[in-house]
Amino acid sequence: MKNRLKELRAEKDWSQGELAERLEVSRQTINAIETEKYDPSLPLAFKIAKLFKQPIEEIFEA
Amino acid sequence: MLYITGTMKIDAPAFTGTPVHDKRSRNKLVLGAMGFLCGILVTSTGRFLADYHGPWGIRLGLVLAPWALVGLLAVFSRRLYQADELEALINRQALAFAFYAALFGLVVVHQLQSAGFVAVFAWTTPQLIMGMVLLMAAGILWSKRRYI
Repeated sequence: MKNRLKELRAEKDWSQGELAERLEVSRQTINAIETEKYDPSLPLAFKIAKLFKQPIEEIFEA
Repeated sequence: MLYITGTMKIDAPAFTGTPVHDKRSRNKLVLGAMGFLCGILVTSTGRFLADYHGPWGIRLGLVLAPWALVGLLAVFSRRLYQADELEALINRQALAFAFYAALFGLVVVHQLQSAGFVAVFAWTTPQLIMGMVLLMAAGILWSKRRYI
């Protein structure tokens, strides 16, 4: 699944570690999502959408 | 807060204390170390019990005491460290890997023994425990390479 997580993170000037901290997951999880090796669960996807104040479909695309 | 460097003003990053991901890594290491120590304690007690022939109550107590500690560690481990969803997925996949590798491995060994290529031997408990630990570790490595 394609996503804009890296782009959104760069806009906020956050490191992967900082984003991981805000989402309460490991840095490896953020890296795996950004490199599209792992699709987050729905609760985590909603958490990401809420953090970046964007609709979920604006961040994730099938 | 602003830092002034020459004529440029740069917004300083907000200090957030120890990042949680660092705490997570540290707590994971602490939990791993505690688990390792529990393993040593259980193994040492087992070795001691092999040569100890005291009253049954003391022997039973010595068997159960380390496990009480393991139980406490299991109960309080969630406060120290909780796997996130990707780590939980990796652990589940590692378990599945370990199960199927053990199952197919044992069937293959049995067939080789039946065909006379491998001598018939009895699996002892330490061998089985070591095999399970190694297979789980291999499963974690196998699963991790997909995501990390």
